[in-house]
Amino acid sequence: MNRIIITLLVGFLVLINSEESFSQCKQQLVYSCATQPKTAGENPIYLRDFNAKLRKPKGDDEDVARFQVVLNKGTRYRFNLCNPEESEGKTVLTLFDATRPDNEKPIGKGGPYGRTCGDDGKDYPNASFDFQCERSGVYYVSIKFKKGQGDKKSCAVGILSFIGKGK
Amino acid sequence: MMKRFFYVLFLCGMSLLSVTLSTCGNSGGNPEDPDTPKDDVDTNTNVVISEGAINDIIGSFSNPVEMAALINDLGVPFSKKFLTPTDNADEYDTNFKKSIALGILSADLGYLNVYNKTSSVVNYITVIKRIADDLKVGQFFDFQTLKRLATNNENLDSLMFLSVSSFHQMDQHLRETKRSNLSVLVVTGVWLEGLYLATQVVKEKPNDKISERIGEQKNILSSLTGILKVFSKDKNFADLLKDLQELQTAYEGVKITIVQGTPETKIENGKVVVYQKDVSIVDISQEQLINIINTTEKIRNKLIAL
Repeated sequence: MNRIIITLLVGFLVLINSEESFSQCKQQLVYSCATQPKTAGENPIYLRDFNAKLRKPKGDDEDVARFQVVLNKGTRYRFNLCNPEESEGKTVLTLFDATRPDNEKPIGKGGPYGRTCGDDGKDYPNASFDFQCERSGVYYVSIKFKKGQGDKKSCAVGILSFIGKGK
Repeated sequence: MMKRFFYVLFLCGMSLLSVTLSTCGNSGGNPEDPDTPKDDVDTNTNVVISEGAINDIIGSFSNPVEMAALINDLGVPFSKKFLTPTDNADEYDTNFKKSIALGILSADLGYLNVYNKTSSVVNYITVIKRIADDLKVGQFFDFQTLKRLATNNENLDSLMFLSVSSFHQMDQHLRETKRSNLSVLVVTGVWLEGLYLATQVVKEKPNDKISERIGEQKNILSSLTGILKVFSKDKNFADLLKDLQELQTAYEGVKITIVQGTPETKIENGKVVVYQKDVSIVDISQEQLINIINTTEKIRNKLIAL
């Protein structure tokens, strides 16, 4: 009987613990990601963050966090992605919409608008890219583990900044 | 004895499980919390769009900074007269008025932050904090830190980050605690004040870029009225919807044409830049623009005088 009680108790504790630890990134990471050192001549303005909690993928069943965002014509935006130490370089942020879907294809060849890493899976500098928007409308941002990189649950935070009207 | 212990353990377990599950479904707080203010607006509406869909739409266009950032980026000088006065904040005495005001004042705070007008920021954060407390979202507004940053004119990036992220957290909390109706009002306030700033700038000095941005708001306005309709059984919402439909009428002739292109990726100064290459043409006549300017001004001034 004691063994059953202990098993039940441990079971509940594991359940509670796993729910609590599967969470969004801490505000400190969001802050440091949003206030990274500036490049000379630029003054990025923080607009919003995409704080994603990611489950460990089960086989091909990947966990994807999706967010809607309105972007405006004639504006250059910056997307950058940050991770806690244990999952650094393992996630990717993708910008897409219905006409440029979130798939594995290269940018400009049926793929999405942009990713924070190249086709080889290597992160761009600061895991970031700029997007020169020429059509106002609703876009989507996804954050997920890169293929085969999700060995345990984690979180990732994407930052959207206003760069300016672009050149 | 053992049976009783087992029964107590089972009850504890079920309670813990139910707490865990309810937290999963509603991470932002408990809508039945007695501290959550009772809305003066009717929440018992026949919601035809799912709450998740509403939240996605609201969350996608609530930004208290972007219009001000555009205006600043185009070299338009700051003008204090565009701001909503903070003196009559005590007159916002219902949740409807408070929610709208929270949005409008947050957009004004964004405008002040973008132009580094830190001396006026304290006044605005004081009023915003008071309204946020009344709406039980004040815990997300770190007034002391914001005040210190603004008063000492230090670390303006942190001031901007904290102002904007506090706004998003307050708005998100409203939605997570089943108060999407109030969140819609906050977002409407933000959007309308942004449009008001843009239209006032153009009214003083014509600017093609800003006129174009004003014309493009036609689609956002359409989404906003669609959401407001969900809550329009409430008289306050119905009145607001009527006003925004008048603005929609002013927008009727504005045409937006899209020609699709293929995005191009370039490396510039070590940075990856994606050029969208779509072409969007906004066709807005001077007469339509004047009509939009006047209608926006009328609605915004009516809302801050409520």
